Amino acid sequence: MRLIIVIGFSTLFLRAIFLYIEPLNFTDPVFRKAMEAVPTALLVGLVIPFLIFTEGWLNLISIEMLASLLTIPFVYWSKRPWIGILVAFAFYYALQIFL
Amino acid sequence: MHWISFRTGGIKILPFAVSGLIFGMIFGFVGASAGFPLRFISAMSYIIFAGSAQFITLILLIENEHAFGIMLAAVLVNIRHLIYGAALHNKIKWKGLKKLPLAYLLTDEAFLISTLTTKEDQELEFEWVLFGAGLMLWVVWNLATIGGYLIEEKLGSLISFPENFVIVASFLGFLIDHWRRYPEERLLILILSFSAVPLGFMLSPTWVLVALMVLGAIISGARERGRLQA
Repeated sequence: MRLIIVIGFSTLFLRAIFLYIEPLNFTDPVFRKAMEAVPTALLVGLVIPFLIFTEGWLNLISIEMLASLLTIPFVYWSKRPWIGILVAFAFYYALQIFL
Repeated sequence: MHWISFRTGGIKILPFAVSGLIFGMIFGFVGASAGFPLRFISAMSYIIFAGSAQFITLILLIENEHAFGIMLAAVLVNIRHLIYGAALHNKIKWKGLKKLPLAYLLTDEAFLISTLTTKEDQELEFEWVLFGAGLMLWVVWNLATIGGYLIEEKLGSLISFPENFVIVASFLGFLIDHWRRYPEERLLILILSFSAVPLGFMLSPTWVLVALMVLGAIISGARERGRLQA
């Protein structure tokens, strides 16, 4: 339990430190622009590596990849991002049955 | 406006809460199947409240790794939170101890929802959006952990989840919507997507995520520097 408390406090410290202390060069417009790119990079990082790599191997032909490609037009034209999770899972399980 | 912002954050994070629900259940499920008591697994969710760090801690505990190694791994996985803090420093106007609950609730999902939502609607109060989003996710994550634990106790190993695809499906819609909404960021998305391929051969997906955030910041900063000098 002590280990969990230590990890919990270290997590809180990492999250809080720059909320309290201004990072160096934050008034620099270049640094600001760099920080604005973080949410976009996070989105890419949460999708692409988990999609194309399976247990350390590049895997471009998979049910996950096909389900994701089929999901793209549904989200793009519906303009509702939350639809993505429902459509992606529907395609994933449908493809598992049919392929 | 406080309530509207708080409610907006809570509602906008609901799609992510679905993935939080599934992952929380997987976490509780894995913890129960490894034989840890419910109070221990539940404490991880309400004290640490960071999915990837919790999973790594749990896996290393199952592997009987040394406590220092476990702490180091959890800290390294959480280093990305430094970038979130830096990105939010000027957005958060709350002072003193009021910032602590926001820091505690600052997950990947809450960071994304609060930054994207306030970018769309600039009348919303950032702090309340973040608080609403983070609190909703906290409640779902903790209930799901307990639920997953209890399900494992009743059903054993009858249930399986496609873990990687849960992450992909949760965020895919938001990535597509981001591409549609912000044409100026399409080049960055493409560069980062292609960069993920060589990085994926060298690093685990979690570390590719960290590397892409650093790379995205460097590219965007360099483009801005070039624009200012031109």
